[in-house]
Amino acid sequence: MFADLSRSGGLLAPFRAILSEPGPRHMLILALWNGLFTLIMKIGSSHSSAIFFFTMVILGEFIFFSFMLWKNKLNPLTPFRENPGICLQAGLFWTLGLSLFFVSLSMTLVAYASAANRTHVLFVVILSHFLLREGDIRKRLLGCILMLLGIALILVPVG
Amino acid sequence: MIGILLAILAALVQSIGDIGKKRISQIYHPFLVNWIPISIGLILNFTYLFIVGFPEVNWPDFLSCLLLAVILLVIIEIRFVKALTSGDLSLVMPFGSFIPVINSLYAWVLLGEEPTFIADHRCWILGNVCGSITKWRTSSSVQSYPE
Repeated sequence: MFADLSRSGGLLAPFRAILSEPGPRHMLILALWNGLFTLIMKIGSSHSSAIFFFTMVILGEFIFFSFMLWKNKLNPLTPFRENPGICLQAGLFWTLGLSLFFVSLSMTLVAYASAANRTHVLFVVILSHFLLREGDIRKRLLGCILMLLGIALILVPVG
Repeated sequence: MIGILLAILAALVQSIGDIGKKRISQIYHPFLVNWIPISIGLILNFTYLFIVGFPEVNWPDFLSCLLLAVILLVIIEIRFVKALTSGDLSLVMPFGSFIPVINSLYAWVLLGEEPTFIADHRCWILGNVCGSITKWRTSSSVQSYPE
């Protein structure tokens, strides 16, 4: 119905892609680390506040990446001079998005907040099409809508 | 309910940030791609904290969580930029659909948080099916970006 099997390599092609293609593999490993990180964020927030804990975490990260920039002789101000708009877009929305997510973690169960936050994929597919001119929006949206059905099953109480 | 709505709003905002990160990742070194949002984030969050006020902190437990979180976030940020530079954003990101399942399992084992277990299973199945279809339909149009 949705795919040309002879062209795509069969039903298990996506699972084989996890091993053969770097992007999906990185994302899968990332998911494992992300789960643990979200949990630590929730525990850490309970000892102070979500925003304070998040700020302290990115302060630690700032020190680490500043050291790495110095070690690799990279000038951190170059992107700000060359592309200030994109830098501001990345920084402002990244911070605001994560801050809101960690606040939401302190208000509901990790599973619910995490599932609701996965609507991120839908927004990424739509915005990538319009802002980055990436193709295949209809096919990718179809997958995302199915994914959202899965999210709805976590969020909607059963029984 | 407010927590869930906030998480969805966070998702929308984050996706705009990811578009920006993707654009930067095509031009600059991964360390710079990570450093730029963090530096802006620090300015924003400290401004917020100075206005609203700093909370009371249970330092011993806080510091151990902080150390672990910093290490994990460094690993996650490096992995994320690698994933971003390995293909189309709209192709790589759907594989993050495993995150809620993994989060649910961790939260269940370590925090004792128990969302409806049957719902979890159904989500896993649906998540995989849709991930498969997304990957399946787009497997012929994968592009690679230089590291």
